[in-house]
Amino acid sequence: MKTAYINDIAYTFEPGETMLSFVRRHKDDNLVPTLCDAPNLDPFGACRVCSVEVALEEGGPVKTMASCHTPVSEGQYIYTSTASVQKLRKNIIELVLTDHPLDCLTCEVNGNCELQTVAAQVGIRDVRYPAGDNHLHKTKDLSHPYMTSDFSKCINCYRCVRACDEVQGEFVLSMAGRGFDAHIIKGLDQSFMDSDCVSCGACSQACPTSAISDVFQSKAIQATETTRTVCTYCGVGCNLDVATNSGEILSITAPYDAEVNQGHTCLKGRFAFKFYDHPERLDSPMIKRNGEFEKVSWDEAYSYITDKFNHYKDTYGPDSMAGISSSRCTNEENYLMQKFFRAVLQTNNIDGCARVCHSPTALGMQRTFGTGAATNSIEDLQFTNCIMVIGANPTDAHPVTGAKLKQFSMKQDNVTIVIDPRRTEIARYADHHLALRPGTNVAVLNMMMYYIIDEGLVDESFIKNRTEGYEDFIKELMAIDIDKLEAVSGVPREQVRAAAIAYATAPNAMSFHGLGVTEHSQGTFTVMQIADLAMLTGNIGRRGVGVNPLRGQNNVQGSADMGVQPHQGAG
Amino acid sequence: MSENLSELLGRKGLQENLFDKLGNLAQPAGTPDEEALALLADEFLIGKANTYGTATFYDFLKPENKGKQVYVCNGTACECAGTQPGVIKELKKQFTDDQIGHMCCLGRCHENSAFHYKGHNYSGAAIDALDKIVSGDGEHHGDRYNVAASHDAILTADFTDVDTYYEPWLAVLAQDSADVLEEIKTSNVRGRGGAGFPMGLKLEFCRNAEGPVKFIICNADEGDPGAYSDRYLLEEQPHSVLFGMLVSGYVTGANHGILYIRAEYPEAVEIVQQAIDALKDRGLVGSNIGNSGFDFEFKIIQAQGSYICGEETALINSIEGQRPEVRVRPPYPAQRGLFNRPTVVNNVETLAALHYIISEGGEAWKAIGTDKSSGTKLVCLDSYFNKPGMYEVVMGTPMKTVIKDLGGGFKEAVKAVQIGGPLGGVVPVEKLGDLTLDFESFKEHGFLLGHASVVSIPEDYPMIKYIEHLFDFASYESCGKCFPCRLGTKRGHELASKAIQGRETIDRELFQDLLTTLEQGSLCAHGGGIPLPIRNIVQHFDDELKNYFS
Repeated sequence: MKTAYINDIAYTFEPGETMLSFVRRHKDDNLVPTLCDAPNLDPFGACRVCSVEVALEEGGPVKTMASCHTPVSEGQYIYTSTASVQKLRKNIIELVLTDHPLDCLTCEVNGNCELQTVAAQVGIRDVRYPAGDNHLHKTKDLSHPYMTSDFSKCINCYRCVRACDEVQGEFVLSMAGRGFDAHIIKGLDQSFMDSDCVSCGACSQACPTSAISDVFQSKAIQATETTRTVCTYCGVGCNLDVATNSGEILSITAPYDAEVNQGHTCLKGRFAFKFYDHPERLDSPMIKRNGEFEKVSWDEAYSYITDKFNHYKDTYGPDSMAGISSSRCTNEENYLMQKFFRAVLQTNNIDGCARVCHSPTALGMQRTFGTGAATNSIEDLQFTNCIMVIGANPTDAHPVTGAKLKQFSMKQDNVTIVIDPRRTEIARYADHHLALRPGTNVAVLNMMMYYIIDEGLVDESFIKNRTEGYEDFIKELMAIDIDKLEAVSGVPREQVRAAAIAYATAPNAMSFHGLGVTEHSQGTFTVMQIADLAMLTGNIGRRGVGVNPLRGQNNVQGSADMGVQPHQGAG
Repeated sequence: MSENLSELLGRKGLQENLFDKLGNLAQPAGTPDEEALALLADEFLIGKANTYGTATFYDFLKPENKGKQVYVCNGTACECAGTQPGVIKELKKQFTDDQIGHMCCLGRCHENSAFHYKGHNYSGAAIDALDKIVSGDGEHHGDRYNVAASHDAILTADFTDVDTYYEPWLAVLAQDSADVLEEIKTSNVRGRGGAGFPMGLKLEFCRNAEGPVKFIICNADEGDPGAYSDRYLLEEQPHSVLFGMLVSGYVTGANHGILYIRAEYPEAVEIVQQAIDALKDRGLVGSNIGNSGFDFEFKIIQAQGSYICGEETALINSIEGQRPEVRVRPPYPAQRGLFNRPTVVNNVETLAALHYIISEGGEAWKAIGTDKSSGTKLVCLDSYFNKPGMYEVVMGTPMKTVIKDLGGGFKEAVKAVQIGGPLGGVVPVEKLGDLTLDFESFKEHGFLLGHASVVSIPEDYPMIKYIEHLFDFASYESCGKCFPCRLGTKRGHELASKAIQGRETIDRELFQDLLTTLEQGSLCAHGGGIPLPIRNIVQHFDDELKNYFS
């Protein structure tokens, strides 16, 4: 381990670690103040408030350096709080305050403003500069149903611009002009409403002041309680912090320490919570009588249910009844539901919403791999070189994972293959887009496997040690009629061949599939082909390789695991 | 600045370049229209905010440039010479106020009265023939300056012919590139752009960086008011620059050379393109040059008016079509530069040195000049000298020799000179005798050699006005990324303006705090460098300034 010194005391540092991270890891988070730094963004070096003094020997001559983007070197002496750097920080904040409204008491982020905190920390008491040019006249943008901005509060830290780029990958925000006139813009200097903003809220969460916020004023501190929970929309599983006051939801933010979403979420997770306290929600059981629903007591409702179930069971037998459980429910609820049908009503007629989405995935992967679940964490994207996205539009359907896939696909050295009739957002950035006719996944995947074998790109050792039935498989596969498949799928064979070679030659390749695969009569077989493609090229069983269904609802895996399916019980 | 944008903008390669396209779209209206910016964004898979944000950064792309017909130089030398109010008065006879813009600077510091009209620069007496210039008959470009060397000419030596000049290039292709690099390292040639970093080391870093695609960039964004030595090399010695880039490419394994040339130097763009074409005709560039297996191609990128693009990471962003904001280091360009690929950025004059080093050997270059500052340096003298011009001077030559023997002394009473551009030191004339022309001597005396341009401040030019001018320049050209520079240069300008107007004296402690904040806090040498000349002025001209301070 390498050693450097913080205020003359030795500590160990990681290779490549920045001075800021080094200091924060060993000392108080607030020892070195920052404004343009954010936990989920790359170092940027704009505010310079994180400056520290650095010497090559104890008490030696010092240089001032911005700690957020300067790596630590062996034996360095970092001084975090000398009179000189404290004065520098104070003088920088004084400059910031020459162009910032001093209306803290009525500002929505009062008490939760990073500028306010840092100004207090560096001890600003007055602004010595005479009044000069400023941006205090900027007006608020209230055009959008969720997003708001008030650029009179903007300190030009670029955190919103970087969040839109590095987290969401949307590029809606940038700076325009230069120098003192540089200012944040949305699109072609439009309003939030007229811009291409996707309302993910990453910018507003990143903003250290109230320059960008939202209609729920999520950064305000009126809440009496914050509860960590998991989003109930899609299968990504974002962690959310829900701020409440007397049980009423005020706002939702994405915690930075959540492994799945690292401070990010989508517009549904962040903003679509008004249903929770909505007056039209049911607040008691109801029974339909004479064509109208009537509110009843729980006792009455249960006795009504018991009577009906007993009646049908006695009259028509247990199999006359069926239950459908929801993947939005918890494991406990799903377990009880199937248990009730199987143990009490004595029927296997229990199923869930996976029937119309990913049950072909479960079955297809069980047949090929032995179990029906994604083989990777999303974190594995950091360890792969190639992604194949088939029958899925993740930037719309799984926005947080979609954003990560988009980040991956923007990089020149990464390979992205999209198999989809639509020019999805990921397809715009993909190296290979096989825009097949709807319903012809099997044809295209067969062609891909054909070319992989034909080009001699099969992972022979994987086939030999880890698979069975290969001889029969190859015999069938090599007998396919490429002319016919090309005509059926509408994808030129050269395009398929190029994509096949790219997938097979990538050191590590991962696939992602969605309902465009499973919601076909041949869905199960398509999933098996995707699995075969992985096995053929040895892309299964390591970090950064594998097969990943992008499942629909938040607990669809759990509902299947709990036995909400007719052919298989819990566990 | 943005890793993603660098990746996306690199996808189409150099020939399909966003920045080029923005420049083309700005013609003839003076600024690209919004619909075109939206279409470009779609083409490059980036945001509309990105194309708009880039376009609004540059003097010659921004919406305010719409309808501009003629541009007046507002560089320091023209400002000190006091010629420009007269030029503007003349121009107003032919153009409306809205049609007159500014350029900083046109590199005509030797004769001033500089302006730009329809892709050509004019200076000296040209303004007297404005009628003819506007009506299109008669060439009145002006631009006469002395060129001489203090010893045997190297950078300013007469050009022979292309075939003879490139014989050493063919010889290089037959050598091991590691040996060629050793020769450059032996010469100890240091960057002429201002920082003085050893060129050999820079090339070595890039050579050692992994990657199939690498770039050599020639920084021909000579923005320092007072400097026109790069313009001289580009216009009069273009092959010396191209030669240097070819050798740099061979040594690092880079196959692409980009010349980033200022929009203010339109003649240089034409001349360099002709020189590249001459090399193409002879097969000295292209694929498999001289059957060596080495490929190299050139591309000229014309800048669009921004001083900060002379900073190498801003320049890289500019070529990509991003906003030219300064990047943090690391990563250094040699590791991750243009389109996130290993890149070397060298100044025009640095590259021009390689022909001598390759032909005569590294030891020969090293033997010239001082121990630490080897070789010769080009020095530009402005119109206050009896013999204004561009001189090649051996490093270590006393400044007195430069001023008196080469420049012929001053025409009029001058109280100080600013050497090395707007970020260079302001040297009172009586201190000139202490200096020799090399990196070390300037540093030792609290100045900066920089690009070694010399701008004279006449006796009657108020120093408070000079401070205001420097802050105005620094503020106008700040990229706006880091807080100290964006805000500090603006507040500095306001303090000086208010003092001049007699509205408010400058608080000495606040002023010192501001300079220290800029110096210690700024991200790059722009904000970090502007305090140097101002401190020099405050130190050496206290008597003149004291009424403005409290």
